[in-house]
Amino acid sequence: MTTMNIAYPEIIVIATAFIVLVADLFMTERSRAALAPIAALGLLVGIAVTATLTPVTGELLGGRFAMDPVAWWFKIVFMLASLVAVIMSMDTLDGRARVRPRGMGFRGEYYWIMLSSVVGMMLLISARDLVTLFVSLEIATLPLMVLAAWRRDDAKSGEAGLKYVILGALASAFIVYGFSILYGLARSADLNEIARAVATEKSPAFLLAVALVLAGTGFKLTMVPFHMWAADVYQGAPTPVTAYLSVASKAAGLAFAFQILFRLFGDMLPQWGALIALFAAITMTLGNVVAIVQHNIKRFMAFSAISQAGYFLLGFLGDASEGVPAMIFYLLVYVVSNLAVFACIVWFANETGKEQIEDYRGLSLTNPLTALCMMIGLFSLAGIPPLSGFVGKFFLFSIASKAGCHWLVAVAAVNSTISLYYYLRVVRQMYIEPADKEAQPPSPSTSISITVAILTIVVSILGIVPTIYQHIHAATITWLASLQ
Amino acid sequence: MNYVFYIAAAVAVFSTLMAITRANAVHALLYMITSLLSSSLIFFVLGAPYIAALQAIVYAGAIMVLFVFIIMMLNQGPASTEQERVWISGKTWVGPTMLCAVLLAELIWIVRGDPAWLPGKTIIHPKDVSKALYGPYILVIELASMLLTAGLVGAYHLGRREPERREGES
Amino acid sequence: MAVIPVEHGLMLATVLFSIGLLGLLVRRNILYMLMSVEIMLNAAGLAFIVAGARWSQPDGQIMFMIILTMAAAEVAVALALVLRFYRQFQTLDTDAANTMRG
Repeated sequence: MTTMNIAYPEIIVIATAFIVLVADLFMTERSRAALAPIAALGLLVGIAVTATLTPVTGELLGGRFAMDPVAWWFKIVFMLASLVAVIMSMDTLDGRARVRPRGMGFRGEYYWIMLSSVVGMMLLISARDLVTLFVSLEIATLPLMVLAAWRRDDAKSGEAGLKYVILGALASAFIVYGFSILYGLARSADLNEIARAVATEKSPAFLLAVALVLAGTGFKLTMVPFHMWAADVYQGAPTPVTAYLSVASKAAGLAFAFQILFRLFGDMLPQWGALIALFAAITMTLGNVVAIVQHNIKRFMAFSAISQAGYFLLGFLGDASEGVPAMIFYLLVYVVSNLAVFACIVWFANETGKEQIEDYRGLSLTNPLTALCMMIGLFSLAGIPPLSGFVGKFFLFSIASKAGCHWLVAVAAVNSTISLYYYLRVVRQMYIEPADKEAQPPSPSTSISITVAILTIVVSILGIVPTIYQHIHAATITWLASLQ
Repeated sequence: MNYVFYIAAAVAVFSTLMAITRANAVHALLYMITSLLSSSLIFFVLGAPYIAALQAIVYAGAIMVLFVFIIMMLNQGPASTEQERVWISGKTWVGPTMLCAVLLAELIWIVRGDPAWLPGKTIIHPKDVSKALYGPYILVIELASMLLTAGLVGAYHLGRREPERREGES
Repeated sequence: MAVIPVEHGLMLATVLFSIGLLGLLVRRNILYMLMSVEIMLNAAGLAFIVAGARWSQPDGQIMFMIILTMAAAEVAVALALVLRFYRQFQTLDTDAANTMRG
């Protein structure tokens, strides 16, 4: 099957990216406000085209670019996350925010960089050989590094970017060195052929390659002990970028982990159960414990995101036919919930310029609806029924339980309780602490209000609608068959 | 004739070690460039002449020149003039020059010798690389251009000094 | 004419990679850290060339070109950030980069 239409989503996003970049050159400063709607429209068209894509399975360029049902879900998530991120950035970049950050530069470049990272992520899950996989990983991460450092006048933003660049390049070096050993052993750069060639490999060189590639993957997924970049980068980056980073880089990390763990080392994955369980336990515990003592809301969300990465790891245990749909479903839930919370954080930072948890006190009195939405998002992240976060976590926990890791389920349950405690800290500030008398009540913003409302509704109903999980589950079965 | 490889490898390891242990950034860069040139020679010996040329032009040439630019930009001030005097003195240049001389001797020896000594079967000519690059790997080329554009736009935005207050941006 | 054994080529790549990693861990100056990362990436590229020579395939060389591209893009961004860092802190010491604490 060599039908071009499976590449349409990527082509549309790339075209939008270049339209935005070139249009910026010819626009006056005032009319540049149209750039964000153009970018958002392009992403919407991309989502629509992807959603109506038939057939979902196919390959191009001699099998170096392939579309499959799992890639379809990832692409939808990537485009959705960036669409929301574009909408969130609008107020900040167009100068509608009450507290305007300086040094944001030209808007066309900002949206271009953001869209190019989406293209990288979309290709990441479609790549079928080492070279394409590596170059799309770089296209996905390099723009994120630039975005983290985007505020030119802010020392924190620059520091975040610098740390991200150096540690990201280190992770890339690990990955690419591991790839070189794999290629040297397997005689092919094709992922499926490497998987076949190394299926029975036990040499020390192969183990070194596995260790290096997994370390790099752990870095992208913010798995402890490769998590240290996340907190500083999340805190230093401009707030809309932090929102984008927290969902997009996590989704891209999961896509990369899928490519590595299922496609490349799929035959060996069952043997690594104990190791994955250990890392999952360490990651969720450390993320949770450190999150308790945070005062900056962005840093707090960073550690929350690290502990969520630990929950994702549960899906790699046991049977892939259940783990894969559970992870994709939880990714969807995580992305929507996290974006709902971050939309409120972005709006609050725009209106007040504050980002300490204590600054949120009394928000339920000044803006009851926003506080409610933020609370629902936080409760979904904590996994409180009947919100979607509970359903997602339930699937993941049951996989760990079926894989025989009962101790891990206990650890995860304790961690969920701890996380409830610190998510409640924010809720307590909003609902119980009195508001400052002199503080000006923040005014609502149209674009963010609509976004928050839609996201909150999705968070609430995603867990109740069973068809989505069934659809993902059906998609996984064809995907797993294609691995061999 | 394998010792061409081993001498170049020794030069690469030694100059890399020197590069990361120097206190002065320019000294480190000189050793770094030497290290990259010796890897270039190694690529040539391994049967990758195209990559050997790219390594010398892009890595040792363009990327390292970027580093030199940055070091020069960071050292503006009267204190740097004194440093400049030290750099010009011969002592700095002895190490890298000697290492480069070894590489040069090797290269001359290869060029004037009979090319039949090269590990003939494994030479991959630029033509083969180009065929693969514009055949099955065409997507990679497009993506590489996208990556470079992202780097360009990013570096341009981040490296620019904050302009004077403009309309619409406060 | 004997061909260089693959093990020796890989060994060289490993040694260079380790030196780069060592440099990254030991040095506290951002420029040196960046140079160390470059050394590591170059070592990985060397390993790809060795592997490509082993199989007489051009794929290793193509991967090297991609590493080159990635290194160039990454260095451009990183050096722009180094300039900014120097303007803000008047130093290149990474220990100065600790303005964020939880």
